[in-house]
Amino acid sequence: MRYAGPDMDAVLLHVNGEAREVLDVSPTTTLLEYLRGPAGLSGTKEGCAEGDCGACTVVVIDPDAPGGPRFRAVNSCLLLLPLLHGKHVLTVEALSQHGGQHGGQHGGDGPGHHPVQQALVAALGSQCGYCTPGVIMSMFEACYRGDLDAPWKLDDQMCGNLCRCTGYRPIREATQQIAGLRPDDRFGAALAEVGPSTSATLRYAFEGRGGTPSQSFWIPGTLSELWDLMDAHPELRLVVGATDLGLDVTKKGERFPALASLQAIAELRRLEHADGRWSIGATVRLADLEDATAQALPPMARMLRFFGSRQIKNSATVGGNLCNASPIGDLAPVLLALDATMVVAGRSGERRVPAGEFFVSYRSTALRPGELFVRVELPDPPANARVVAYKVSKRREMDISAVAAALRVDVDGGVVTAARLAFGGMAATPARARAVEAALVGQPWSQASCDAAAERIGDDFTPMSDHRGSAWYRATVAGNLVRAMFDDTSQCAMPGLPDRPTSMVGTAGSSSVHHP
Amino acid sequence: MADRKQTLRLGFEGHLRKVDVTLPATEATPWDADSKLEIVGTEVPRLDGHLKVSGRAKYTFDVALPGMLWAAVLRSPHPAARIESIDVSKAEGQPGVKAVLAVAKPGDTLRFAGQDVAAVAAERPEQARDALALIEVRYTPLPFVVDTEGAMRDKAPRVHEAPITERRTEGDEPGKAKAGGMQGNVRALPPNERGNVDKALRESDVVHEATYVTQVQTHSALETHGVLVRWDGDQSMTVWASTQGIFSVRDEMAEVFGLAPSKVRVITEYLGGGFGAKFGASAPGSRLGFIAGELSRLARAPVKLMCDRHEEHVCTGNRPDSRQAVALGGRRGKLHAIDVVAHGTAGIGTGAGVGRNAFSLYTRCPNARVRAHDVFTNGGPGTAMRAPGHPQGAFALELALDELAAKMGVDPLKLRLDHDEHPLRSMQLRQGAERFGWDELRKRSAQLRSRNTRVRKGVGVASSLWGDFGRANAAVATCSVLRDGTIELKNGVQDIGGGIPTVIAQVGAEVFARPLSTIRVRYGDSDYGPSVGSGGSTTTSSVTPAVRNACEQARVALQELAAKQLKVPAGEVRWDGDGTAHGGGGSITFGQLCKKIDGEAIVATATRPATYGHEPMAFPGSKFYQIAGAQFAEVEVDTWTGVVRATRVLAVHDCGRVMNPLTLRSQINGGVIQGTSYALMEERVLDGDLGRMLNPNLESYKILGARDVPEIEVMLTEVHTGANNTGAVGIGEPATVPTAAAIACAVYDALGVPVRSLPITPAKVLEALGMIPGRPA
Ligand SMILES: Cc1cc2nc3c(=O)[nH]c(=O)nc-3n(C[C@H](O)[C@H](O)[C@H](O)COP(=O)(O)OP(=O)(O)OC[C@H]3O[C@@H](n4cnc5c(N)ncnc54)[C@H](O)[C@@H]3O)c2cc1C
Ligand code: FES
Ligand code: FES
Repeated sequence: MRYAGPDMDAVLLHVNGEAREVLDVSPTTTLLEYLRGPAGLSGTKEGCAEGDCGACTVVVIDPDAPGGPRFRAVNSCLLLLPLLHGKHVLTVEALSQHGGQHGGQHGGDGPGHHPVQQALVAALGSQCGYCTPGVIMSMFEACYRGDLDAPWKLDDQMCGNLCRCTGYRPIREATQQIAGLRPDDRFGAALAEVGPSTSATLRYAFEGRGGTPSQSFWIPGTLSELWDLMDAHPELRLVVGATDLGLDVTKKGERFPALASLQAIAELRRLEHADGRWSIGATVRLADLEDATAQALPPMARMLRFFGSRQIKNSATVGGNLCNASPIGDLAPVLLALDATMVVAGRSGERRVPAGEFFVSYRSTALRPGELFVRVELPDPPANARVVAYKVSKRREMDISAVAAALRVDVDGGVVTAARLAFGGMAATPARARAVEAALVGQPWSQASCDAAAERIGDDFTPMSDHRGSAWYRATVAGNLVRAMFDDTSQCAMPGLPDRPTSMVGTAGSSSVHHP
Repeated sequence: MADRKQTLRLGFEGHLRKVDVTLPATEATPWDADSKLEIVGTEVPRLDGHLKVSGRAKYTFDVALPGMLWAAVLRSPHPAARIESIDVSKAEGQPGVKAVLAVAKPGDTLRFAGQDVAAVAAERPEQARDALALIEVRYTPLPFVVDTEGAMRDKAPRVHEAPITERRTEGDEPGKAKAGGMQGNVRALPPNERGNVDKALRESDVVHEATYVTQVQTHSALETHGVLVRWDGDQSMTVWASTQGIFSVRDEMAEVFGLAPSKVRVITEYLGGGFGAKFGASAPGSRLGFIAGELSRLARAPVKLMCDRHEEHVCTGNRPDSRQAVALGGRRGKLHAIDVVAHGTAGIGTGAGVGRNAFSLYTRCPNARVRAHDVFTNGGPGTAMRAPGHPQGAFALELALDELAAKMGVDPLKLRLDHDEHPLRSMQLRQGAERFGWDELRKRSAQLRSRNTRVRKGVGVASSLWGDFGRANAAVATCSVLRDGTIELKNGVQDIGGGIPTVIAQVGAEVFARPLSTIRVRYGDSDYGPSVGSGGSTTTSSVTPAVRNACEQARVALQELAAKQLKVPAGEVRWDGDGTAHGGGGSITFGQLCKKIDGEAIVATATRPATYGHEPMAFPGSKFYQIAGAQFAEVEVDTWTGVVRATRVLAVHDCGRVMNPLTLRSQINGGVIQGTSYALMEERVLDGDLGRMLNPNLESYKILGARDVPEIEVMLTEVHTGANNTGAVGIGEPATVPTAAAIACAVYDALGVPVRSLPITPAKVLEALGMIPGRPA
C-alpha cells in the first residue's frame, strides 16, 4: 500500500501561542533560522549553530512525554522545522507580558516578567546578555520541573548554556530560586490543554527554485507507512532528535532530498521495565531514559549524566545514538556490558541482533536496507553482578568522551565467573576487551586481579590519537578504569554518581581513599 | 584658569594619608577616603537586566533593515598560497545574489588558512554561502609553518618577506616601545633588564631552570564578530557593529572609504562580548568593515556580515601562545635572579609578549631580565585578549617560583611576600592566606601526597598586576537636566557587559541626590559623544570622571537657578537628600526647580583630565596606579584518569573605589572562570600537515561550563588612589591574570610534580605522573 496522505501539507506549529502555517521554506530550515528570519523573533540567539552553546534554547511542549505533556528546553539550531509539526514552541519573547516590542535602552523595568526573568535580573545573571535568552528558557523548563531537588541537578539542567562572560554563579543562584516553582499561570494552563498525544502526520514537499533542490519531509503515523516510504524513496533518511543529522545540515550544508521523522509512531516511544527486563524504544528521549534508570539501572544513568546537555538529552533518542554507530557513542558500551539485544524491523518482520554484532565497523551497523532499529531489550543485571560505567572527558558537560567504559563482572563465592568489559573510544566500533575479560574470569575478585588484568588492555586495543586524547592516554586511562572498578564497586555493586561533581569519574569522591 | 591644589585622604584601610594633588580648575573635587557617598558604591542591579531577560536587547546580529542583504566570505583553504587568478563571474548570476567582490587580487600572497579571498552579498544568507562555491580561484600553494618551534628553525619558510607594521588596539597595554628587527620568523620585543642577571645566576646557591608552555586561546565571545553597513548617500554611512570600540570602528570606516569621521555613525546598542578581539571595523584577520561597506556600495542596499563560529575561531584574533625558558636563582632563601626568554606566536600578527609579571611583580629581586620574541607562523593573527601577555607570563613565573621554593625548602607564599613591594598586594596576600586556610591546606596536600592517595588536593597562589590606564580627554560626557526633572547622561560608550551605563547612572544620581529612576543614560552610539573603547580596563576610569564633571557643572548652573528662585547668593543654597534646594528660609523641590529652567534643559559637557595620582604605588615606569590582586586556588586531581577540577578560588582584588559591588563581583567571577577555562580546557589545535584549525567550534574547543565552575569567593580591598575624581580604576583584566597560574601551582602542590604546559589536560597529568599513577612503583 502506498503511503496515503494529502499531496501536500503545510507545517503547522504554534509559536508563543500563535498558530503558524509554513508552506514555503526548505524542510532543512532549522527552527532557529525560522524564528529569527520569517517569524521575526530575534530574541533567540545564535552562538554556534551546532548544539554546543545553548544560546538558541527554546522550549517545546512534548505531548507524548512519559507521564504527560511537559516542557522541554531544546537547541533550536539543530531542530529541523518540520519536526515541530503540531507542536507548541515558546521563545523568550513569550515570557513577559509585554514581550515582543522593542523598548530601546530604557524600554523596560520589568513589570509583567515571568518569575524566571525576575530571578535572573535580581541575581545579576547577565553581563553582555547574549547567552541570557537561552539561559532563561532552560530556567523556564526548570521552573516547571518537579524533580530538581538537589544542587547537582540544577547544574545538570543548566549545563547546556555556555556563558563566556561566565555568569554561572548568579545563574545557578537564580535557578535555585525558581526550580520547581511551577507557578499557576498561563503556561501551566497551556500545558494542561495539550492532549495526551497530538502526534500529527505530515507530508511536506518543498519545490526547489532558483538553484535550490526539491525536498520532501514525511511524518508517517505507522511503521507500514514508513516502509512504503522506504520502498518508494531509497534515498530516504530517518531523523528524530536531529542532534546528529542536524549537524550535517548546519555544518556541511546538506539539503537532504527525502527525510522521514519517526516521532509519530507510538510503538517506538515505549519504555518498559517489567519482570526483570527492559524494553527501550528507538525514539525514547535520553532525558527520559536517564530519569527511568536513575535508581533502577545506575550504569546507564551514570553514562547519561554527562552525556551532552539537558537540551541535547531532551531531543536526542536512543535510536539516533545507536544507529549513527559512532565509535564514541556513549550508550553502546553500557548495552554491550549488560548483554542487550537490538531489535530491528523491516516489512518482512523483526530480527534480533545481539548488541555485540550490531556495530559492524566504523559508523556502520547491522541494519539492512529497508530496516530500522525499533527497540533494545536487556535483562536487569543479576544479583551477583558488579557494574560501573565511566565517561572520561575534559569537561563535565557536552564533551564527547575520550574513553567511555561500562564494566561488569559476575562474582560467585569471591571468584569472577563472567566479565563483560565494554569500551567506547578505543577502537573503530564500541567493543569489549576480551583479553582483559579472559584474564579476570576464574580469578578471585580482588584489586590484585584487576591490576593484573588491566595490563592486558594493550592486547585488546590499539586506540587512535586525536585531539580528544592520545593513544597512550586512552590506553592508560582504560587500564586505570579496570583498576578502579574494584574499588568503585566495593561499597555498592552498581554505584551511582556522587552528588557533587568531583574530579573523580569514580564513585566515592572521597579523598581519603587510600591505597597502601 | 589656573590649576588648583587639593589635599586628599588616600591609600587603603590602615594606610590612609593626606596627599596633595594638583587639579585643573574645572575639575570636580575628587571623591576620596573621607567622601560619604549614598549611591556610588552600593549594590545597584544592572539597569538593562530587564531588556536582556526578555530578549528585547538588540545585538548587531539582530538588527534587520528593509532590503538588507547578507554577506558571506570565501576564505583561503591554504595556510600559504599565491593567488594566480580569481573569477567571480559565475557567482554573479546566482539566485538572490546582488554583489560579488574579489577581496584578494591575482599575485597576492595569502598567509593563513581563513584569510579573505572574495565575498558575496545576497538576499538570504544561504544564497550567499552557496554562491561562494562558484567563485573560481587558482592558488599556488606555498611552503608554510604553523608551529612555533618549527617557525624558529633556520630553514623554516618565511611567513613575512618584509618587516610588518604592528597592529595595536585599545586592548593593548599602553606604552610599549618599538620592537627590534626580524631574524627569520623571529622578531625581538624590547627587553627589560635590571641588575646583572648572568652574574646573579652564577652567585645563586639554587638555580631552577625549566621551560613553560602556554597554548593559543581564542576569545570565543558568544556573539561572533559582525557589522551591518548602510550608506546614507555617497558621503555618509551608518554602521551597526558588534564592537568594543565604537569610535575605532568609526575611524577605520572613515579612513577606508575616505569619509569624514563625522559622517560615519556607529551604533552598538548591545554586544555579546569581545574580550579584546573587537576593536576597529576589521577583525584582526578579516576586513569585515571594508567587505560589508564595499558590497553595500556595489549593491546599493544595506549589507550585514556576521561571522560564523568557525570564522570566529580562525580569523578574529586569539591570545598568542608562549614557550618561556625560565631561570630563577635563589640565594640564602631569597629570590636573587629572574631570567625569562620567551618565544610565542601571534600567527601572522604581532604581540606575543608575556606581560609584566616576571619583570615587575617581585621587584625586591635585584636582578631580572625578560627577553620576549614574536615568532611568525601561518596562523590567524593574535590580538589583545583580556590582559594581553599577563596570564602567560604569570603562569611561567609563578609555577617556576613554586618549584624554586620547593628546592629551597621555603613556603611559596612567604617567598612572594618577601619580594613584593606593593603594600596593598602584601596585605591581600596575608589576609587572603588567612581566609583561605593556606597553612592548613598545604599540610593536607602534603599528607595526601605522602599517603599516595588516588585523589589528591592541592593549593596555589599567584599575583596580579595591571595598571590604571584611564585616559585623559578621551571621553566627553554630556549632562542635560530636562524641564521634566529627568537627568539625561550621554556618552557614546558601548557596554560590553561590564555595566558602565549603570555606573554612569549612579554617578548622576549621586551628584544630584536624585533617585536612579530619574536618570536616563544614552550610550552605544557615536552620536552621543566621544568615548573610549572597552579595553585595558579603562572604561569606568575614563568615562565616570567625565560624567561627574558634566554633572557637577550642570549642578552649578542649577544651583544658580535655585539661588535666583530663593533670592539668595548661590553660595548659600543647600541641597538635601532628595534634591530639594534650601536657602534664605525657603525651599524649592527639584521638580519645581526644573520647571523654571529657561529653554529645554541645562546642558553641560565635560571630559576628564590626565591621571593625577597613584597612591600607594605606581605601575612600573609610569604615573599610573598599579592595580594589585592575588588569587588562591584549590584543585582536586584524580591520579588515575588525570582529570583536574578547580574546586575553590579566593580572589582578592582592588579596583580603586568600588563603584558597584554587584557589577564588580561579576567581573571578578568572570575573570576567574575564564582563567580556569584557560588553565584546564581551552586550546586551539592547528594541523601541522594541512595548516588548518582542527577544532574551530565549541564542541572540541572547550570553554568552561556550569558544572566545572569552582566555588569563588571575592574579597575586595578598596583603595583611594587619587587617580581621578571618582576614584574608579579597572578590574576586567586584573581578575583573570593570576587564575591559571594559581591553578597550575595548586596542581603542582597536589602531585608533587609540575605540569609545565597549559592547558593542564588529563593526559598531561598522567604523563607527569608516569605510567601507573597513584600507586607505589
Ligand atoms: C552538543 C552535542 C553533544 C552530544 N553529546 C553526546 C555525548 O555525550 N555522547 C554521545 O554518545 N553522543 C553525543 N552527541 C551525539 C548525538 O546527540 C546522539 O548520538 C543522539 O543520541 C542522536 O539522536 P537523535 O535522535 O538526535 O538522532 P538523529 O540526528 O535524529 O539521527 C541520527 C542518525 O541515526 C539515524 N536513525 C535515527 N533513528 C533511527 C532508527 N530508529 N533506525 C535507524 N536509523 C535511525 C538517522 O537516520 C541518522 O542518521 C552529541 C551531539 C551534540 C550536538
Ligand atoms: S546556537 Fe549554539 S547551541 Fe544552538
Ligand atoms: S553574559 Fe555574556 S555570554 Fe553570558
